[in-house]
Amino acid sequence: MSVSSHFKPEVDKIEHRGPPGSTAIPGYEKLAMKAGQVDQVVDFYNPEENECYFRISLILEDGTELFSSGMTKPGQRINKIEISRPLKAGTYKNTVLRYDCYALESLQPLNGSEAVLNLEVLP
Amino acid sequence: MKKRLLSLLTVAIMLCAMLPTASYANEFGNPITSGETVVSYTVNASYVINIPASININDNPNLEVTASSMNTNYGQRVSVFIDGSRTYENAGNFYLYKNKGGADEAKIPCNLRCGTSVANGLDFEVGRFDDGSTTNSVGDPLQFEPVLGSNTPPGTYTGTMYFRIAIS
Repeated sequence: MSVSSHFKPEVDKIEHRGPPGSTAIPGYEKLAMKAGQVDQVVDFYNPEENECYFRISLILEDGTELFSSGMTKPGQRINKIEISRPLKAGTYKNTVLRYDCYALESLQPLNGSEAVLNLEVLP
Repeated sequence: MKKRLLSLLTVAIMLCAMLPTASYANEFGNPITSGETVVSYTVNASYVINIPASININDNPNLEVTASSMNTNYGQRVSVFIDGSRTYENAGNFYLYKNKGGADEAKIPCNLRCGTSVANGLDFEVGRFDDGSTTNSVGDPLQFEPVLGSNTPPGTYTGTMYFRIAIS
């Protein structure tokens, strides 16, 4: 994901509809954050075509959970987050963006996914 | 006549000499230094993978992973694996549960097969998308095969699978 702390580009609405009964999982090569601060700008979302809630978590390779969302409904975006601790500048490889999925009505856990990415923390 | 031509020529030369100065001076007569700014913006690779929200093995025992968006470059691969650390238990078995956590909890092991191979316990690759293609190039789909005992209680058994997606 190309996420800048200062600029979020206008993007065409992309249809993510997969086969019936499937859950669309967005993934990115990189995620950018600013060093030395806990307030960050991101672009996490649950595609509106999904029929489940997402709980989105960002976890470093050493297991440190930087962020975990509440139940995120289809079509909802998360643009401002507060991470658990400020990071030093550098590239944090094999950072995981975890999607735990839950049925809309019963909140039963559904199949989930993790997208592996590089977290680039800029000075 | 000769003098008039000479003076006109002199005036023309003087005017020409002034032109460059006028082009690079601002309204106060100060010279202007030109510059340039390179504007860049990086678009990072991204994708959207579709995993089955749930699988009813009675209807279709196959695990199908597709992609609806693959904004990656030539030479990049997006792979989808079973996340074994979260999916398997008890030395690599995948279980389906009935009334999990309840007093009458029951569970059955469920084999994962790919062709003739058993993939139990493996971080098995179930999706591969190369060079920006949304076509899954993994050959045979993974199949679920519940293992029933002679007195397995009837009912609906469910389990949750987890996937790990990586771009390389």
